[in-house]
Amino acid sequence: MKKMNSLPFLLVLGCLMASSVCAQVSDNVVKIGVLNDQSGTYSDLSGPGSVEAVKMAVEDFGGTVLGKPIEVVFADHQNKPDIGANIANKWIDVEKVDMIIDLPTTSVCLAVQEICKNKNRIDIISTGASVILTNENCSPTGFHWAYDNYALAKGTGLAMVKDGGDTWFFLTADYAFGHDLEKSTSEAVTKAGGKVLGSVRHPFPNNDFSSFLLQAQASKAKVIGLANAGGDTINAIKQAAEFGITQSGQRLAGLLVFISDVHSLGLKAAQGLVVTTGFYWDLNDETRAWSKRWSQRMNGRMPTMSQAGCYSGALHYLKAIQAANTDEAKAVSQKMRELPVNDFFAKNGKVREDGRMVHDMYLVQVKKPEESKYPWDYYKILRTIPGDEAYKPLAETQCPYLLDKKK
Amino acid sequence: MRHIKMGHIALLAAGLVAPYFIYPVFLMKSLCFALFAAAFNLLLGYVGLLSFGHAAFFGFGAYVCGHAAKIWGLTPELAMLTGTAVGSFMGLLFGWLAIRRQGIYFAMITLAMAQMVYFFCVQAPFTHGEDGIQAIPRGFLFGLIDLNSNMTLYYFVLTVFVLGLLFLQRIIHSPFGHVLKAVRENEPRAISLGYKTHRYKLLAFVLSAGISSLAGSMKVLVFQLASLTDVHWHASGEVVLMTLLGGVGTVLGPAVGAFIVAAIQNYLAQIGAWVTIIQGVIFVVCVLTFRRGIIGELEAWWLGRTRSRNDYAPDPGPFMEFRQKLLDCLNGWESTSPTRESYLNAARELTTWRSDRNHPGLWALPPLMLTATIDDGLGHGLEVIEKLAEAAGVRIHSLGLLQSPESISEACRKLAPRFLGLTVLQLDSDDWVADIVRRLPSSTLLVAGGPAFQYDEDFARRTGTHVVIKNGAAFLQFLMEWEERATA
Amino acid sequence: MFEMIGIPPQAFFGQLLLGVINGSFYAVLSLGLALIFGLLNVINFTHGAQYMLGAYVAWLSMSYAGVNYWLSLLIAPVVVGTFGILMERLFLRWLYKLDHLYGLLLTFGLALIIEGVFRQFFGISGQPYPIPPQLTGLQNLGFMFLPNYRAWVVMASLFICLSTWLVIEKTRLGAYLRAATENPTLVQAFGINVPLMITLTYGLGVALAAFAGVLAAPIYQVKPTMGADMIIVVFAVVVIGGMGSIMGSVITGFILGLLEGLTKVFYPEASNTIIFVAMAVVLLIKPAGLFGRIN
Repeated sequence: MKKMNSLPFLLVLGCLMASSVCAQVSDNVVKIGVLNDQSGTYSDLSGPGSVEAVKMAVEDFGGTVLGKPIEVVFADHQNKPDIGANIANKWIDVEKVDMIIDLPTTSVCLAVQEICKNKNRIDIISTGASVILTNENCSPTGFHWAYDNYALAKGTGLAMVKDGGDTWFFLTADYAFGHDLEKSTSEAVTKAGGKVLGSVRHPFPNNDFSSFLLQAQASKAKVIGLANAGGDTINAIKQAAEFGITQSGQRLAGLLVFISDVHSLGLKAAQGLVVTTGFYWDLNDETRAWSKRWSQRMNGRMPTMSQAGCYSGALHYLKAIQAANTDEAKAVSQKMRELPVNDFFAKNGKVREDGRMVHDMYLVQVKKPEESKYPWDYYKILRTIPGDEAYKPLAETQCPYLLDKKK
Repeated sequence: MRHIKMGHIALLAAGLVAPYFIYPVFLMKSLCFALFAAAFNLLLGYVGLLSFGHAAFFGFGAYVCGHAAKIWGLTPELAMLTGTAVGSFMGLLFGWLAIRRQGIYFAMITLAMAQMVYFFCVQAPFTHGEDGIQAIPRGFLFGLIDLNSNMTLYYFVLTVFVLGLLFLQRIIHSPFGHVLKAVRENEPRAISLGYKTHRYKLLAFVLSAGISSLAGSMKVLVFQLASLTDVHWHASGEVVLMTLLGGVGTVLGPAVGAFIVAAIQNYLAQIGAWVTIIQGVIFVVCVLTFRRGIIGELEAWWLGRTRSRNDYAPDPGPFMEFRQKLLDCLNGWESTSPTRESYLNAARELTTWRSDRNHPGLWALPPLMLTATIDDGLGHGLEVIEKLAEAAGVRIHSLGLLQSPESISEACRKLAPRFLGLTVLQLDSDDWVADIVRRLPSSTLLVAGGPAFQYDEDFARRTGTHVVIKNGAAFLQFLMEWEERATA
Repeated sequence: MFEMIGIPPQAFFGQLLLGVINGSFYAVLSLGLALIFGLLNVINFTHGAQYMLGAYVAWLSMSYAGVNYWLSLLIAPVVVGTFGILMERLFLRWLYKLDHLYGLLLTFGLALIIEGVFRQFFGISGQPYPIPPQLTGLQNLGFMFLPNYRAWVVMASLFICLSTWLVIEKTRLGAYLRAATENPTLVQAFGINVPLMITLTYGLGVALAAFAGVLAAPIYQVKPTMGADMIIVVFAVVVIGGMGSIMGSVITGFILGLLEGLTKVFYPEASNTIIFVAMAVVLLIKPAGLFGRIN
């Protein structure tokens, strides 16, 4: 009898001991690696700014999790998949990095997500755009945070068609991302009742768009869709202004434009541009407060959606470790999907099974120079697009392990 | 020599234990680039051709190997062989087109062709454009050894690298390699010596391209990824940097340069644009003050004297000895008037002496001499000339006696010899001789003698004969003086 | 006929005109390079970086000193030209006796340094530079709208190319320059300061690059990599035109601009590569380039 009475006590004791053993952090440190372009085309929209954002998340979380310190490291992958893969491998094998975040350039994302999947680490993609990261190339420990091609295409395409821009001509960067963006937007436009009159593919990267813009002009389409990014978009917009495209009545749709691009262009050239974005610093008090903090660390610039997304992703990751009582990737991923995302970046954001973080997107228009009252006052919000409407429905997923489950 | 061998063994030992101290993937990357740089250096350092498009072979070989391993499911060694084969074939095509030009034009043609390959890689579906070929399986070597472990793969890569370097070393120190260096030093001279420089350059190009593709194929197995970076012209620029830094024209130099450049990229990855600045500074410093590169400087310091680039020249010793022997013969003949027999005996002696020692004679690269007679049916005089020439180390090609001017001119045009040796008996052969002289290639000298020249002092001037030979001694004298002047 | 090609004639002429405009830009860009190679036998890979410097001088002087575009057209070449002269005195003159390829590698290294420094300080996105107010606006040509600024670019390029050619070929100074570089010892014996001539020539070539940079600033983003993007194409132009011939590279610039324009109509993805195809073809048929002579 006595033995049976002490059994529950022993069991409880055992569990207590087990759970303290279970609160295991590998190598006694949680290391977050920010892998992005520190010096090239995407360094302004992600780059060092993303690193600061992640550092802020760590500080706001308290600097330690489960009693262990949190470290942030970073590296420059120079937009090359082999360099990115090399760094990711080295980080995981040698430097005990637990999570890799940011990752612009889809080709690098694919390589790194594959490595993380095979080596059981988490990757959170804040800058990479392609929707295949949560479809054909999805990973149970991979997450897509700030935006994706599909959301941008649907947001801008739908909005402009509804607004009367029902004939489109595309200027497409001739590589996978450009083709992808053109395809997504064409589908969104046709679904909304619009018509695609044609497209022209320009080499990537390219300096002179005059000839392609002329072809766009000749098509007489109401909207010229710019299926490109970074320097190409900036050049195209600048030269469109020069050739009087917008003056003669055609509108430009920048399918992937960051606030850093608008800053580079200047309002005079960029005014009127309709853009879908995952974040705007001047949206509300919370976003303003955080952005001002970030801005002080970054020479007065304002954060893009990628950089703000890095903060949000890193913070959610740390919360998930806390909840899972371990930093083992699968357990943490589970928690990341269970917990809602609630910070200045996303209210009631949800992480889906395919890794997609679904949150509200914003349709914005670039202000005219006279409408801008203070530095970085660039956007006026046209519409808030609810998350479920913005992103590709889970029912249409191409993610292999989800499709297997359905069977 | 022994010290250099010991140095190599030490390096090999270091290579064997390195993966226990340094991250193996970094080492493998460096080894792949080291092999690439060494292959590139075959063309730059030993043939003197700067190619701006070598990334085409490296990167396209990588794509082919990756495709073979992933889509066709070949085992790694077969995939690598496929990549190398395709790369060599590309080298044949590109080389055949580019070799016709020199210097900056050669560089520009290779650049243009590499850009076209880049464009092809961007467009072709099998390369998947910007994404590249991802998730390439490392597979099982020979179907048995699992290459997925970094350590196993490292030893395989090390083996291939060492074999590759040994192969290059073998090429460089072979007769083929000597000709390549002669081409680099002075191509017109090599042509005038009768070498078909085009073929040598083309073969060097193909070998360089093939080994570059091998390096690219290996890299693809290490990273399991083939991308556009590998075919971009920046990669071509990087291999130039590696070779320059390590030392052009040394075997180990490019490998050292590759390790250093890879280390800079690896350990300084955080500082972004500074890497570009540092690379620029390295270029500037190397070109201004450090032209021999790291290994070149080490070699010079080790040997304690300024090493000439012309390191194929054998020890001056045996050459001086041979010259002395010839001078002795000449001195001996000065006082006496030697007979035909004594010339032939001396010639036979010298030839035996040379073949015992495997001595090339007066020249490391022997000149070609065609011989013939037009009006002499016996050829006694010509025989002496031929035997003396052979003794001195000249390559003789005998056209025969009583040849027609047309056939002599035709042979000279085809073979482009350095000398044409004729004996002329009769004065009225002057038209024929003049005719031959007119049709000679500009680099061929007419060396002639015989009664016609002795009877008529104006014969030589009338016909345009370059060199008149009175007798065997005079001929030997002429050869020695010509060798001196030519190497001055 | 145009129906068979599939584009209306208006659009076609528009593309041709754009080709001519781009061609004039290539011409003025390659002018400096051709000058330096033609006279000095130096392959100036820093040309792209010097072009970028010209654009940045214009942008910096406008942002911090309010200097307008027209002044910049004069100031930038002088400033960058001086910098080029410094470069020549400090670095290049040690290499004249060596193989050309060393000059190429040195200037390549210098280009990397200059570009890296600017990337470090100015970031990569680039800075906007406005079109000067006198040149904004469009002309309606019927088959297309031609921005006034682009028309100005054509005129400025032609003017500069012709003046340079005149100076080099037809004036005394030009004759001195050509003589000094062809046969330095002899000319020096006549009492002409040959090193000065060489330095001036290099400075002139660099100034031309900077001039092209100022021309480009309003239409292309002013960013540190703008030179690197251009340099390969410009090299191709010079090589095709014939590396010793100034007029050759000017004419070739226009021809290639047209060729590129046509490619953009029929096979736009290849428009970056067509120049290299042309280069390979020309070099195989006529190794000295279209107008060049092998020294």
